Amino acid sequence: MFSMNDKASARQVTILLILDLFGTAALTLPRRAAEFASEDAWMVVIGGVVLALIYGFLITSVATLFPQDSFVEFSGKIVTKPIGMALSLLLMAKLMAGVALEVRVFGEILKQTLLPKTPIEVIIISMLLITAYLIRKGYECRARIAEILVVIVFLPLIFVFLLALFNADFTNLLPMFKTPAPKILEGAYYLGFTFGGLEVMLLATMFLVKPKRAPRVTTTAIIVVGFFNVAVTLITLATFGSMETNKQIWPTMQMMQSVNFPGLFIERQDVLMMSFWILSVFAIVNAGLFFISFIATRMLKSSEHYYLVLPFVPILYFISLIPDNIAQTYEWLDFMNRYFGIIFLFPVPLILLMIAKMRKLGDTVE
Amino acid sequence: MIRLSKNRHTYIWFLFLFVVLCTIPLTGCWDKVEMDDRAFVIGMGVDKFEYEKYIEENKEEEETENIKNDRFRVTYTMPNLGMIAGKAGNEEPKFVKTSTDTTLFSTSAIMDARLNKEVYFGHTKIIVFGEDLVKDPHLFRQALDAMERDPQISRRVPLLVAQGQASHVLNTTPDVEPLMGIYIMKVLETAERTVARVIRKDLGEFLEELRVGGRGLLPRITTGKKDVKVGGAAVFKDYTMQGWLGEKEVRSVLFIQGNVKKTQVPVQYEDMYIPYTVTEVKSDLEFSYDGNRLSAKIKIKMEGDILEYELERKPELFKNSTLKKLSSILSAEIEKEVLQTMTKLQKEFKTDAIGMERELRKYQYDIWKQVKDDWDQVFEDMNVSVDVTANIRRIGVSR
Repeated sequence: MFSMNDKASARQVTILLILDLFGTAALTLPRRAAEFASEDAWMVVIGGVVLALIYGFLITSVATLFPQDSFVEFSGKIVTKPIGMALSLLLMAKLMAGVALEVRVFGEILKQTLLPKTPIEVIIISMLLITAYLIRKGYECRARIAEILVVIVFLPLIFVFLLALFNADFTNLLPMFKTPAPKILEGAYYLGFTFGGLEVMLLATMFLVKPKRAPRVTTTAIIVVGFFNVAVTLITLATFGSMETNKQIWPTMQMMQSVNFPGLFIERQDVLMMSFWILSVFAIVNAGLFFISFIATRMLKSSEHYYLVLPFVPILYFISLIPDNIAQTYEWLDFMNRYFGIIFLFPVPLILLMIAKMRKLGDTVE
Repeated sequence: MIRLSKNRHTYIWFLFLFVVLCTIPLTGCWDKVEMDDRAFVIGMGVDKFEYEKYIEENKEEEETENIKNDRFRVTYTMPNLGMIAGKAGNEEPKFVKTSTDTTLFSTSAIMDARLNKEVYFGHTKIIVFGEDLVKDPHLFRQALDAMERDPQISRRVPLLVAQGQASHVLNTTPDVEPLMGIYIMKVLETAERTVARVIRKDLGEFLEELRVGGRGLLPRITTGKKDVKVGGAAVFKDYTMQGWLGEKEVRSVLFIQGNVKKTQVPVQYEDMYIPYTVTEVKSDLEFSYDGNRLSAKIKIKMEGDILEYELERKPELFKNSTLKKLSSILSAEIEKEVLQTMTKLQKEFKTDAIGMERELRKYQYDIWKQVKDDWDQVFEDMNVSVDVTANIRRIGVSR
């Protein structure tokens, strides 16, 4: 059947990756960047994008060596089965923690701004169930949904950014270039983790009709998302100044709230924006859940993956409810990024790539 | 489909059950509130509540034990939606409700218990602080924090400080526009556009200002019998009100910030007064530091018209030499005014309420780094020179 095709065009994978990378992080990004470099926050974000390009290059270099295999198989081929299995399990665990916390943050923001009386459990479980429903139809179906979502997510965003420009005072970006370079590099290192979603390219390369195009796909996605991240940071900083940006939990949301629609007939447009943002979170959660069940399928050598989706829903649900409050959720996210964020972005792909080249595995000859 | 048709009945029963189960969670919505059940708070006034004073004023009141620890007194104005829609008859156009509690946030919960509606701040148009409240840094900071934290309250709500009690302001029913919140908002807008004697500040802007040493300016509001007047400003330092700036002083501040859209400056010329209508102002701040004293040079360039003179007076206005002479008188006059305001801020309030530190940091970061630790003292000792160029461009349609 159509949905069992499970191959996607380069354009579709690019879009999926863009949606995957642009998510809740964009809401906190200006604050985290401003924590490192106050007025020079945008430089930190650019630094993060550059690092992400390096990560993306490494990941796709490994993945394209084995166009027919996913991470589960090729890691086994490169560094023996048991280690490969252990790495796959670790990747799965990391994805699970990531999705669970992401869904929790999503629930918290939604409860805070839109649905104060709805239990967060209901918000989370409905989000997980609806993604599970989509994922059961496979990768190709996700790709087609993404093609629709990307328009709904980004066009209104661009519109709001343009309006926000009227409200922004760009002298707030002064003084420029006053942050010492080490501070900027440190910030760039941490903000590079907002591109943690790149890990899925270890698994997703095999879905491409032409896996050789994976590097181009990744680069395009990173540049598009990077552009949006820098724009968000610049506009938010210009609207609030670095001090105020620092004090908000989700400065981007506040920035959207202070946008004045001409004619003043709409108020509280942040709420309007939230609904578009929900769609982008939906894309992220479904990517996470899909690849979790996909790793499980591959490890069990099962031919079908759809019956492995639902068992993960309750697990993710319970993990997402472990943190006591919003502050702890962010502390955990921070902890995870700090100590585990880098593993699958840099060391693992690099080591795998080196060993593969040494052992002359995969399509090394071209 | 072949497989399904074998046990078609089971399939249909499952489908039926599925649809029924789906309807149960889908119909419910925890957060639905009907329009009618919402009390839209248009204006909000926050005062400090003092139990001792309250007892003195209301001796016959009972149940006072209940409110002994209360610290906030909040006044809400809500429009009578029925009246506005034209359905109800001769009712009041608005409701004004006051309640007190220990925290700002919980007063709205008390309101919920007194109204048949749920209070909603998403459409709040103004927030007025009472004079007593802004003189108490702890309560004022608590009130501001509550407003910032609440996602319902927009960051674009204009803030004002009432001379006296905020509740008095909100209890006035203006004759031109019965809804106080909307009225004050419009007054602020017009005042900003045409007279430049008031600084419009919304919640977001004020919070940004306060982040540096709790310094800032908020517009003042005073009540008349059937109207209100905005003009002048409250000066803040360390989150506490230090005093008032008059209307002319606010105009000087706006000149320094180059933030004037239109204003009138009447000046004495020989034996008469002539009005100078300013239509455009550009300002420039320049700092220099010689190691122990900071000097600020404020350059203000303005353009404007003169639209009132004296019939048949000589020399006539339609002459470059007259205009040049007037222009120099004007410049000197405005220079004096600006300098006086700066002196008042420096010597009387000892407060950089107009954001000079931020300007210094933005444009002359190196100087800022040397003086930032002791900014209050540096500002007080700062050497200020003002240079005003008031150009007259037009004189109306007669000579």
